[in-house]
Amino acid sequence: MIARPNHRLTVNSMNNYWLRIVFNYSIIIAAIIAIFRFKTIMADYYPFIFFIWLGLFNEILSLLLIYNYQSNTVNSNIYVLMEYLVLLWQFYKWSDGSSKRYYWLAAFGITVWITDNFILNTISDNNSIFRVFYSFIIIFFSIDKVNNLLIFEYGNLLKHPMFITCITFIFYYGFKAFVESFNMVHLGLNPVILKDLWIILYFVNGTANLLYAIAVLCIPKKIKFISPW
Amino acid sequence: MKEKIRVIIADDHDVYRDGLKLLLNSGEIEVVAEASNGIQLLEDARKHKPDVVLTDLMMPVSTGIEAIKELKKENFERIIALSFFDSDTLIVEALESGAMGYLHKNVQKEEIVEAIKDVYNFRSYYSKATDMRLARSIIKSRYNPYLNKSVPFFSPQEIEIIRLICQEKSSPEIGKILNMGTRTVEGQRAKIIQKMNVRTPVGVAIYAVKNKLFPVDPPL
Amino acid sequence: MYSEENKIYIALVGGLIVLLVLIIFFVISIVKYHRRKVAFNLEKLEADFDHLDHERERIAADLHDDLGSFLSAISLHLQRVEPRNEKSKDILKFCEEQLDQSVNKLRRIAFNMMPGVLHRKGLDDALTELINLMTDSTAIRVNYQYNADGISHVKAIHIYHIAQELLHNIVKHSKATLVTFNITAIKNHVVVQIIDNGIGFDKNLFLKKSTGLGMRNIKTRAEVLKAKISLATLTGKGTYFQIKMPFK
Repeated sequence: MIARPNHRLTVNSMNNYWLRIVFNYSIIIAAIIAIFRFKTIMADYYPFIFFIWLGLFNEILSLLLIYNYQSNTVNSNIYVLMEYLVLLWQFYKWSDGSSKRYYWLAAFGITVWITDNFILNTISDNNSIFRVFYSFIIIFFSIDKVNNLLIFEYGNLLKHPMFITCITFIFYYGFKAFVESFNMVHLGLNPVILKDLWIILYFVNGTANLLYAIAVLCIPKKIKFISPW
Repeated sequence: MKEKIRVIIADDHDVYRDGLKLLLNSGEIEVVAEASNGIQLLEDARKHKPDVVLTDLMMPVSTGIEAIKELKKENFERIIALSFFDSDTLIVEALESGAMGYLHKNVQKEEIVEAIKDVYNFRSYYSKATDMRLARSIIKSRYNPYLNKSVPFFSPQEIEIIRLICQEKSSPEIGKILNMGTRTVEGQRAKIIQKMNVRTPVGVAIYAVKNKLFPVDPPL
Repeated sequence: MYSEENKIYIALVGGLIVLLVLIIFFVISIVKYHRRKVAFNLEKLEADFDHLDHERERIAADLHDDLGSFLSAISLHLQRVEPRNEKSKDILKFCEEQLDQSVNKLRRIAFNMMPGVLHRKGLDDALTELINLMTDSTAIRVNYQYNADGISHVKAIHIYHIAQELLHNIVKHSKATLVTFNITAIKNHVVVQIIDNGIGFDKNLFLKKSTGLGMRNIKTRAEVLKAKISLATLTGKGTYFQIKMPFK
């Protein structure tokens, strides 16, 4: 969820710094709403709430680490793995199938992550392989969920939190995979174009965060069990 | 004074039973008991030992058909089934189970009394509302009240007339086919009916087929 | 190793392949859910019909037996009245006739709704009675053959009502004189054929505007039976109707 620029983020590159702050911290809106609603909403959506809070935590952590150590790559790399696992958990809760395939995907994901961060590169590098991988996984699950909702759901789809989040996932992770892939494959393009792509990613991230906030507002309340007497 | 015919009525609709009872309680017939289902009917029969039993075929708990079977086992043979004729198979079942006759529930007093008297004298009674379709179903069934009964002689001419009666031909039509006068035909018919001890063309047809007076072929 | 241009081409092709994979996945996923929905709808339809047919059975039986008995009871009571003059006698007679008619109408309604014999004796007997009724009141001959023992009661109800509707249409519209009616069980299938030598109808016109309740019922019941309908007809040449369904 946090966009990592291709170049190291230093205190000096103030231009997009403020942009980044605004768009990435827009997640705080969703996080605050989530705090207020946490007790009343259905447990099926808890992983999504953790996803939001995790994002906020990582943003704050990144800020601190940048001021002190100039770099947020290590925590970013760890963060994306956690993001992947939390979203996997959420898709499991949203489905009514068996957990087997989710365990396999988690295991495979961890393998890819280890390969990316320890074998092929180091954990302090900007590593894109895992990011592209898990973006696609999220996209596949999102497409599937959206189709499920299209066919089976009654009522207003636009207010359905699963629909909002999954459509957002498709756009955000789609664009993210696209941008990150330029990091994997060196095409010798003009670096300015790449930097512009990252800035667009900030916008997309900001929009996504707002949509997440709307989704949290739309999460249905817990169903109270009414005693028959 | 002639003894009254003692009758038990079984039907799950009180209003209907009531109507029947009040209608029948007259000079010759006495309703000794009423029942609203098959089990009650059996109890009443054992207690009162009626001459004739009238029973509806659609009753709760124990249906009329089962009651008829039970009654037959306990030697109550003179049973008349009541039905709305909504299903041929039901009436055929009743006859096969041992009923001696059947009536449409929407019936006139004269016919009920006639039926009760006939059955009292161990004579089969087929409702006057029987159509040929129902008659055919009965003929095709296992029901046969003529087992082990001797059959009087019928002349070939009588057999021809019987065959034509079974084809629902009227007396004038029969007369034309056999080259006889209508009056003669009527006379023959009366004699046949008397010999067979039946009342209607349906009775004639059933008698004829069950006693194998002529081989049965499809035109029936 | 590769020139810049080649790299870009490869990247483009790669991108298109990715897009293609996503689209294929999308299509597979949506088709999967659509199939599930169709199956779900079918189940719901079956349950609805089940409920409906049970209701009808109950109503028909109650109607005929209950109401019929009450009407007949009135008739019985009326017969005890001793009319004092001609006028009273006429009125009484009129009332009794009306009651008679009412009972007959009742019988017809109940029978059309759901014949008791279907539940008691099964499809063959019920169809036989239906056909007998038809041949008695019309000049139509019916060749009826039944070779499909063991059909479940639920299926039997559907088949009966389909046949009832079709025979009704034949009587009303076809001016036919001969109907061939077969029900056969062949190799895990049940095949129902109804062929008449009547005037037929324009199939295209019929299929386009088959909003008639009767035909719609047939189609819906056929859906529940998972059956395939074959219909061949030409104006003036009669009609061939076949419905084929799995036995189980």
